[in-house]
Amino acid sequence: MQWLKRGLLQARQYATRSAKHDLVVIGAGPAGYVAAIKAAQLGYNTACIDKRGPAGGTCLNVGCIPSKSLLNNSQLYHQMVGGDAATRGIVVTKGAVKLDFGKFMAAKEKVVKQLTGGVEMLFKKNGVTYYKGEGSFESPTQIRVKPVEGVKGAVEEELLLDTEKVLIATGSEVTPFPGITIDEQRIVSSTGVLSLQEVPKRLTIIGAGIIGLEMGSVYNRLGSEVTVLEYQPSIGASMDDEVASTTQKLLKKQGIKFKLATKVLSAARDGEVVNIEVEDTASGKKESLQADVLLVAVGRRPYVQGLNAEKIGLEVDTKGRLVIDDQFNTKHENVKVVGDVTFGPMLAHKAEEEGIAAVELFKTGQGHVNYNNIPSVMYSHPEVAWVGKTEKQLKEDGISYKVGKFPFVANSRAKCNQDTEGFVKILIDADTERILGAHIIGPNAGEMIAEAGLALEYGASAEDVSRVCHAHPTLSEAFKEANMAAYSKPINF
Amino acid sequence: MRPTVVKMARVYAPKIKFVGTRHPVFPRLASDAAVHPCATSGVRPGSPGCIAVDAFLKKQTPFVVEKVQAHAQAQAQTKAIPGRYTYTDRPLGENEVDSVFKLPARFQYRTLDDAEIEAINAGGATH
Repeated sequence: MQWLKRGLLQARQYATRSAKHDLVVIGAGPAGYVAAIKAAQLGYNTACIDKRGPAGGTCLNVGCIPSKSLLNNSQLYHQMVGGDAATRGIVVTKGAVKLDFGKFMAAKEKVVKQLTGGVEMLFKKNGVTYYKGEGSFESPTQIRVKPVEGVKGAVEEELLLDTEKVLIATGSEVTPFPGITIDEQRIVSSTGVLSLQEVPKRLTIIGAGIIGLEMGSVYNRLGSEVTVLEYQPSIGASMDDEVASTTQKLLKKQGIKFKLATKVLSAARDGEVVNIEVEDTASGKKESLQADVLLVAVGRRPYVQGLNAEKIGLEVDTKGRLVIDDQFNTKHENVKVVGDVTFGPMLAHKAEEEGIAAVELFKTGQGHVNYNNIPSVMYSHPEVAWVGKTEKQLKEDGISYKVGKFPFVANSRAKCNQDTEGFVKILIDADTERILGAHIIGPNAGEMIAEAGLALEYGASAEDVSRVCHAHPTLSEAFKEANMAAYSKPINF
Repeated sequence: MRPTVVKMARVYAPKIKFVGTRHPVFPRLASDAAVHPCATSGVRPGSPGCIAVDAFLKKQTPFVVEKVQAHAQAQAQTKAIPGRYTYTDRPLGENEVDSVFKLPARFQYRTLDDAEIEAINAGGATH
């Protein structure tokens, strides 16, 4: 028997290491890490796997967080150097304020490191086992974790995780532009534009969506000549039309150039410049442009590579999104999918809501996301935020509505701050006066939209919001006054 | 639309009412599952219109980053051919200029005047 025991021991040393969990989450982005923490809080023995290394996914590492740091700090620089300071009694002599680009980027890196480290601390605090490696399916109840070269702290050898439940949260990646080679130096994606080595003299952007306009705003404030190329005849695809045209006017006023209804034919690097060929879709006229940096920002697509999803028969739709039902289930009831890799808008907060709902569905059989109440925000200056229906959607649905609008130029706090561009627009049902949509362009729009979301969730009417006491002087009074304008009359305009 | 004065006169009854503490839980069965609200064309797991993941990925152009080597790095890696000048990128030294037009005037080429050009073009014959 001794020889048998010795043989078995030796065999165990050479077998793949394994571990057992109740729930394995593949992906540590906003959907994955939030779901993992919630699952642990609900009592599951939870594991989370990510091949990037630092937790937080695209959002924390190369998306929302670094871009907001650049947006905030570039706006501060622009206020000092762009001439606005003088009107506030702040004298800035020429050359007194300089940009240290290295420190500007270092500030961004510091925030990213703090937040990604913070997520890993939260994992430890809540008892989530975090594996830095590539997760893939062996079966619906077994996940293989492979080491990833070059990732600090990655698993050193392959692991097999046995689990009852799996949550796929692998997120999304940049959509390439056919025929354009990205080098993340001169021709960059949204990842590379966050780590440029210097302020480009000429920055051209393909795509007038949120990512393109935010990054355009950053470098415009730092002194770049920014040109935005867009195939559609207008910017901001999902924005309310009036808000989109106001946004374009204000960005143009800031110096950003727009070439709309323009098709990009080709773009290629030539040494330290990029040559771009474009065509006006209306006239067919061709034009050659040159830039120091070209940002390709035409969207993102679901990321399922390396998951081995085909091994368990998972399916995608025509856009590559993993197919699920309204309980986030795939064809296996124990395998759910959330976030950018499946249906719905590719927004971090939508992913977070889904992560929690999916885990609650696993635990209690109930979990819900209200997809009619997902806000969108563009962190330009002024900010743009919206939730609910646009006028165009209401017209298409045949719903009669009323509009209440209030400009920030009539808001006392905005005037104090000398930041009065924009307005709040509220759309309400013509009969019941229930709020159907809120569209804000102006200071603090991204924070203010939360009040609109709460009102929508509770089924509030414009009068309900108007009769809530809003502190004075605050920007949120503009939200109240827009509601007053919708059902009655505003006081201050 | 009712006059504002009449509207203000009636007692205001908020539409939002407090309904209790925690939300009640109504567990759903997997058999109750419906199409996802954001799914296009009513697609759900196993329905027609679904595509196998590997079949989809085979047709998808991968996202690839092709880094371009820095010029100096590329030059350093180029093997020197004997007798052939190899450019190396370096800062200017003392008393060096990077263009003949930055030299003092006495070292620059004298430009030809019109009479000289005409003479050359006429094959050396002068009027």
